[in-house]
Amino acid sequence: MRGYEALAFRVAFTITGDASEAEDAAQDAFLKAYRSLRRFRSGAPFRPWLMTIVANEARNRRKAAGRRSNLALRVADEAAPDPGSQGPEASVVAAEQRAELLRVLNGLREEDRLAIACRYFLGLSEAETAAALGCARGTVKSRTSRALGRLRERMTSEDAG
Amino acid sequence: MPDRERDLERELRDLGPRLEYPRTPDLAGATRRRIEEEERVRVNRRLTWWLPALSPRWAVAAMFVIVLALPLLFPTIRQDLSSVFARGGASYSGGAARPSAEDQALSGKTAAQGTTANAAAPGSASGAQAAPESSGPTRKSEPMQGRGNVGAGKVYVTRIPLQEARSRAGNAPVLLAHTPGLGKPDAVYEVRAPYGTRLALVYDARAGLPALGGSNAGMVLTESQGDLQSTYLRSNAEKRLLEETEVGNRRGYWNSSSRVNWLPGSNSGASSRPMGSVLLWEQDGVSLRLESNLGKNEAIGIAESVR
Repeated sequence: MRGYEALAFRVAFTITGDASEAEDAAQDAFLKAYRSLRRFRSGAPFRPWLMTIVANEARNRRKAAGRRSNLALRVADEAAPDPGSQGPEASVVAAEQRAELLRVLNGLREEDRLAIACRYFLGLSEAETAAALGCARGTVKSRTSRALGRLRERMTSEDAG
Repeated sequence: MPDRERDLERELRDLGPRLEYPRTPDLAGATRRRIEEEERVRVNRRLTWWLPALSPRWAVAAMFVIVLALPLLFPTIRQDLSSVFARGGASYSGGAARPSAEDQALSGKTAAQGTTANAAAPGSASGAQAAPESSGPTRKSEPMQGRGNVGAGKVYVTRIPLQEARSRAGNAPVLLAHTPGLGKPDAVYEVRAPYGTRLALVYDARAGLPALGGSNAGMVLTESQGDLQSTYLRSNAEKRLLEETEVGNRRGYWNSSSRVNWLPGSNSGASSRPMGSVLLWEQDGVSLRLESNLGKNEAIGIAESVR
């Protein structure tokens, strides 16, 4: 489980929006997974199974707390130069664009933010995202598409403004 | 998919690794510690659950179960205990139903020859005349089966002629009552059991010799080689049930209201066995037991005529 703890914690954090809650949720989920190992179908992919448990635990905690996620993602320290960039100037521009993108994203509705975070930031599959959001795979597809549309729309209007 | 959308998706994917998340805690370690803690708690709970077994109430209950179980497991203990509970020294051993010759006689029915006790049909003298050779399970074996669940020792009861009893006894004498009018025993049984071989002389009920329970037997005289201590009075508990008396110049033991050893023809257990009197004494290296419905003086009178 050691190899999955970072992803599990981030999934839980994305859902709960609180580091302490995320830690508890992920820990409980690991414990539940350990107890349920006998029920785990041998040969099935482990990560989706584990992430489903983590997401369920995190959503339950958020529900029990009676509040919505106040997740506000931040870009880590951008002082270091971007190795893929053409030069210092280009790096600064790219960093500014990323900060702008994140700012607009944080202004979206929670379900849009969660869909994009799961699919693009955490790299979850559609199935894993469905488990994390507690919805069907088809819903993930449509919700992600709508979220991208709204994000683009806002970016465009920001650029125009 | 339009290029603009692809670009946005690429930008988002590019943004993911640059996002700042709180430091990932040691989830695996914490989970392992919780598992170990839960295991400890579970073990403690298990111990706690067993703690009541150490309380006085549970200790008494456990002792009770052990006391009940031991006799079932160990034949020697069972034998000792049974000798206590079989009043008047009517001990039975081996855990099996121990149908003494007296029991055979008390049935007042068919005789059994060369059969195991569990299958033997007890017989009285008069019944024996009618069917002396019958063997195999009969209704008279029922009470023995009822008590025979205790163990597996076998008791062989064989009806034999008096003359044969004398020859089988070897150096030991076969003692007979010589009370006028009593005559010779109406039936003689050899009882071979793990606890030894006994000889049972059965006298039919008649005027002056009332029947024992519902049987045809009026008196049973049982003879066992050895002293009373090793045959009928193995424990002090047995002695306490008996009144000390004298048979001739010998010490004897009397109980006017002892239940007869067995109740043939019934499965209902000890409480339904007929009441009778028991007189024990020792003579010429033989322990004797006289069961009848006679009074103490009459029984002693017969006992004193035994030689």
